[in-house]
Amino acid sequence: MEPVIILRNVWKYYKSKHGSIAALKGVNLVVHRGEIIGIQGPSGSGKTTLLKIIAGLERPDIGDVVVEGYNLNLLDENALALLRNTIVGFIPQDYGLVEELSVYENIEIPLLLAGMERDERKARILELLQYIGLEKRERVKVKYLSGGEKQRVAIARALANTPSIILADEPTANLDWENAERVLQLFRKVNKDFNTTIVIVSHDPRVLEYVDRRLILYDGVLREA
Amino acid sequence: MSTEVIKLFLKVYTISMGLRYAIILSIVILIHEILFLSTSNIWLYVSIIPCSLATLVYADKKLLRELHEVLIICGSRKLVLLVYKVLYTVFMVLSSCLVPSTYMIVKGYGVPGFLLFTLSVIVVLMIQRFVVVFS
Repeated sequence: MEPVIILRNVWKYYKSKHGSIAALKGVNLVVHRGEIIGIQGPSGSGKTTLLKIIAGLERPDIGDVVVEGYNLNLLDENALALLRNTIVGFIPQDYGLVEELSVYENIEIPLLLAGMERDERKARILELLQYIGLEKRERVKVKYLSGGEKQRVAIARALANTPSIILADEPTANLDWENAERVLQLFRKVNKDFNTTIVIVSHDPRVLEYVDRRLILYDGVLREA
Repeated sequence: MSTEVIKLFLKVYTISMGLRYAIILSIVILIHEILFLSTSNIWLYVSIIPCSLATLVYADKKLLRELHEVLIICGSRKLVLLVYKVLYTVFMVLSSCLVPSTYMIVKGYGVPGFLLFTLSVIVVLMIQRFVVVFS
C-alpha cells in the first residue's frame, strides 16, 4: 500500500513557565492511502499538535513529516498553504467555521482561495451540500445550525478542493451519540467514495469503532492500540 | 482572489463591529448633547476620549479572528493574510477614532479633533503591536 503520511522521529516542544515541555516525543507514523486511522488519547496528550503538524499548521522541532511525498520541513509558508488548500482538509475541534456567514459562504472560502470562478464555485458548493444532505440550508447562517449540521458543513468545506487527506480533531466532541454516529458514517462514506485518507483524533473510545486502525497517543508517545 | 477576501472581510467586519460601534457612539454622543451642550468643552473631551477606547475594547473582534483562522486553515497564501491584517489594522484605527474625531470636527473643534485622531491612531497601533490583535 502507498504511504501518504510519514512521520519520522517527530518531537515538538512548547515553552511554559517551568521550561520546555515536549508535546510529542519521537513520534513515528505511516498512514497508507485510503486508510481511516483513529488516534485516541486523553486531553493534553498531544493529539491536536500531531494533527497540526501533519496539516503544516505547526512545524516539528525535530524530525521529518512527509505528506503526499512532500517533506514539510522543506516547504515555505506559501507552499504549506497550498498543501492545506489542495491536499489536506483540516477540521478543527470547534468546527472552524465563521458563525456569521452562511453555510454556502463558509464552504466557498477554500474555493475562493483556490481562485475558482464564480459559476464553478457555485456548482461545486451545491454538489457538496447535496453530498452532506444540507442542500436546503445553503443560505442559513452557521450560528443557527445544530452541532451535527456544523460538523457536516466543516466536512464539506474540508472536501471542497477534493483533498486526498482529511484530518479531524475531536469530530464528535460536541455532539450527542446519534449525531456523532451520522458524522462518523459520513467520514466512512467520504473514504469509500473518494478513497480519502482520514485521520481522526478523539478521546472518545466509541469513535474508534469506525476506523481501520487504532493508535494511542499518551503523554506525547504514539503506539499501536 | 484578494478582492473576494476583502469582500468577505467587509461583510464580517460590518456584522461584528459596525453595530457595536454605532451603539456606543450614539449613546456617548446623545449623553453629551443632552447633558453637556452648554457647559465647558472639557465635557466633550471627557465623553469622546473614553469613547475611542471603549469602542476599541468593546468591539467584538471574535468574528474577524475567526475568519483569520479559517483563512489559515483553508490554505490562504501569505499575501492574502497580509492584505487581511492591513485591512484589520486600518479598520480598527478608523473605527476607534474616525467617528468621534469627525464628531468633534463637526462640532467646530477641528484642531482638537485632528489631534485626537492622530493620538488615537498612535494608541491603537501601539495596542495592536504590543497586545493581542495578531497573537
